[in-house]
Amino acid sequence: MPAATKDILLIGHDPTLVLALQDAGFVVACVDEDADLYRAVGALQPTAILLHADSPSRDTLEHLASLSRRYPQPALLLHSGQDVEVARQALDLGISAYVSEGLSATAMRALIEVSLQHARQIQSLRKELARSQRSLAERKLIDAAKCQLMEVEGLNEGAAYQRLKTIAMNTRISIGAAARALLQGQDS
Amino acid sequence: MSTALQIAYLPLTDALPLFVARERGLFQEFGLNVQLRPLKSWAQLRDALLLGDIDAAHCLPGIPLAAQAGLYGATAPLATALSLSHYGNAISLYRPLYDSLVTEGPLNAGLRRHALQCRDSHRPLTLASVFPVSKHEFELRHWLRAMDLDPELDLRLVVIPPPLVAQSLRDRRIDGFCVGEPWNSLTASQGIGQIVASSRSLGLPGLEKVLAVRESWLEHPDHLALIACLQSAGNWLENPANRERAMTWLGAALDLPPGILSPALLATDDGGHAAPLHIDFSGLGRPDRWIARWMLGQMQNNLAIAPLHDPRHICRRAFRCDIYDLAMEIGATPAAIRS
Repeated sequence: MPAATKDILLIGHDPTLVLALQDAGFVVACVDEDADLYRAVGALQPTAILLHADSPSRDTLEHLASLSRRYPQPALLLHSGQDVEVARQALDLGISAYVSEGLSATAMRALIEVSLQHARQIQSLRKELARSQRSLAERKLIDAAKCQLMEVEGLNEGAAYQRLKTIAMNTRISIGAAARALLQGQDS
Repeated sequence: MSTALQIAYLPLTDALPLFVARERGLFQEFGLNVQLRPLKSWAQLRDALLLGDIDAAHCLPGIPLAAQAGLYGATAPLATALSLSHYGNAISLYRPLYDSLVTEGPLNAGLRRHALQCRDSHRPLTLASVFPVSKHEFELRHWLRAMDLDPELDLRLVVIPPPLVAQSLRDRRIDGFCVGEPWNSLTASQGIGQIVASSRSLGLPGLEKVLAVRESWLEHPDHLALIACLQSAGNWLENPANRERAMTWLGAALDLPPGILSPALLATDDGGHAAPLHIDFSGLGRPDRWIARWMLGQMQNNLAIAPLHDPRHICRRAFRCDIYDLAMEIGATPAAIRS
């Protein structure tokens, strides 16, 4: 019976990862980062445990793994010497997994694939967010530079923008960089 | 300059030589470009080392030994060629528990009685160490056996990472722990912990942290320079005035008041304390295979690991005196390594 279950214990809360794992056919339970893992693992007897690679709880899981082969063992160590690349990707994306012998190789692969994919999605969302924040900051800079040109040189908004564009083209920098240079020039 | 060497550490008082090397410009002096990276668990540090994400680490000596013994799989060759620090661990008990135990007589007798009383309850006496192959674990077991308690039968031993021990003690998930500084001084200052023994008072071998690397990186010129550099940082800490300066650097790096760091760094009057916390950084850098043998024996006796094939061979591969000697030979003149 236990060998057939695909119960996953997720340490830390991540609703979208829970959904992704459930879609892949896993039953998922979550506990807090600072929960009593001896109790949680004893009560739930999960076939796999997923957590963030920089979670301090990993040392506790190492101890659980060392107690008995019944407990989930670290899955991303180089146990087999294979899958170094998977382990490296997981490390890059901040995932670690502990898996018991009850979990089949196919299920384990699916588990790790789902979590890797999820982590990649999060990473690309983060990149997108950083890009948006950058372009927002640049927008503000350009607005400030335009205002300055309008005030100091009495230009209208269109002409002020045209001026910035000319500076940028002549010096081969972006309009944002031109705006920053103009504002800094004013300061000094 | 080439890409920076990545050196990882756990935020503990004995990571000090790394900060000394950085603040005093020793890395540059030895031709090294180094980035220090704080990590949060020994498991994370071990994996980062194995997978090549970091080049070297402030590490428990048990980790390269366990790696060479095959505990982390067949393709996990880690080694050390430099000992970074000796001593600095201590055992603390939950303060109110300590107070109630000593009202009736000596601590050891009281603790033993308490352990046997609640042995078969749902909540036996529970003590924590920091990692399965850590010396903390062996120190804790040694201390318990000295009061005639069986660590396997009379109480429960768990592993709690240092950053979580204070909270676990406060929540009474554990009754005490063996951990490195600053955590004993910190919980004592908060009134929740009472220090009852230290690695100095227990009288076991003192080796605490080593510089661990992948076997394939042992002979790399950067590693040889790093050994000479950190040895020099350790030697500089021999002078108490220097330690005082270094304490402010470490306080800033770990975000702790220097007062919490001083029992491990400045307590020169060890004779006056029952459980001295003073850490040694100088004079003992050469890997000591006798200590490796002792540690491997402890791992075998205390942890459920299969009999080891050839302990002498494991120790020889994990503790590389030859590399240390090589580094000392050419490391005395930093430029020589590069040319």
